[in-house]
Amino acid sequence: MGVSPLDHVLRHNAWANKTLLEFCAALEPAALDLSAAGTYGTLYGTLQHIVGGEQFYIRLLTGEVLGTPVRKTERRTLDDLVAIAALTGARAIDVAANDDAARVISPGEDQTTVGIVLAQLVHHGNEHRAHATTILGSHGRKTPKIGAWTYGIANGISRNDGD
Amino acid sequence: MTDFLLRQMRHGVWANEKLLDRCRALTDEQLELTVPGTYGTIRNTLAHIVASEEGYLVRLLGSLLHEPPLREQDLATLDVIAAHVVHVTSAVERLFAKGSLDPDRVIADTPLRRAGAPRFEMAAWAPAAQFVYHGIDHRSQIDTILSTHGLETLDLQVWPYAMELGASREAKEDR
Repeated sequence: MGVSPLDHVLRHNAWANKTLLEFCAALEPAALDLSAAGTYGTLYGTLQHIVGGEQFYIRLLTGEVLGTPVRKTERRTLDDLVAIAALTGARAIDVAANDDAARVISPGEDQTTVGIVLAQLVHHGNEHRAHATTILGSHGRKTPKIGAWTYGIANGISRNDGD
Repeated sequence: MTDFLLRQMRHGVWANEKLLDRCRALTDEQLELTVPGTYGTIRNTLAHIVASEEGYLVRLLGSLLHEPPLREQDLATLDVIAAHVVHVTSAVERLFAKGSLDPDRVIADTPLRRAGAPRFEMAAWAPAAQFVYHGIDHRSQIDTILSTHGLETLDLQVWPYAMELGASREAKEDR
């Protein structure tokens, strides 16, 4: 048996973050201030939240902050966010491969497990990337294809481009 | 130890059930609400989530979950969608009944392929990973539609799911 399905879920997550961030980096700067009702906030704010959230989850899992801490009050360049997302994405894959999913971790007074934090990391990224594509789509703009099918095609390991 | 991917898929099933319950509290008019940039109406998006999940599981299991499958073009009622959620729930458990999924097993075709449609071969991890991604993506869109129209939304993150299962809780220290 090769790479586990979970490993692919996390590799897809890292790839989708990179693809979305690079897509948005190619937009004119004003586009980053677009928003749509019912989503997290502006396009930039959503991207920053995705990366900051993942940085937070990795800190829960490993105790380490990868890259300069992302703060809501400080605007970072998209290149910065791409770099941090590369670090956190790779670390999530490493944690899934080498840590015990049942290991209990206690952030503050709460108690959870490695597996739950990884599951939330996947959920959080997908949910907010959906917000980003909704913002783009609601303004009549092209959206990046960031589903798992496209991840498979981009990596030469799948040929299906269905929904 | 429960397979991590199984937990992830169970979270999706849980979220679908919660969302379905929320939708039952909506009027017919509210179920037809939508916003630009999303898949479509609330009802169609919910049907699309469940129909697609059936499709991924049929491909993974190699057999139909039931006859007939949910088709997106059907104007499915919430009761019909709910019946198919049960099939999805059962199929997820069957998929892992014999242990972990072999991610590299090549799936040659799907029983749901329509006549004349191209045949795709793929490793088992692809529809499994897409199952996780797809549900979250479209549930997020329904959340956006609800919120945009001033309707109550749900917290479908993993945190409340884990709390319900007792897998995440406030630690009570002995003093």
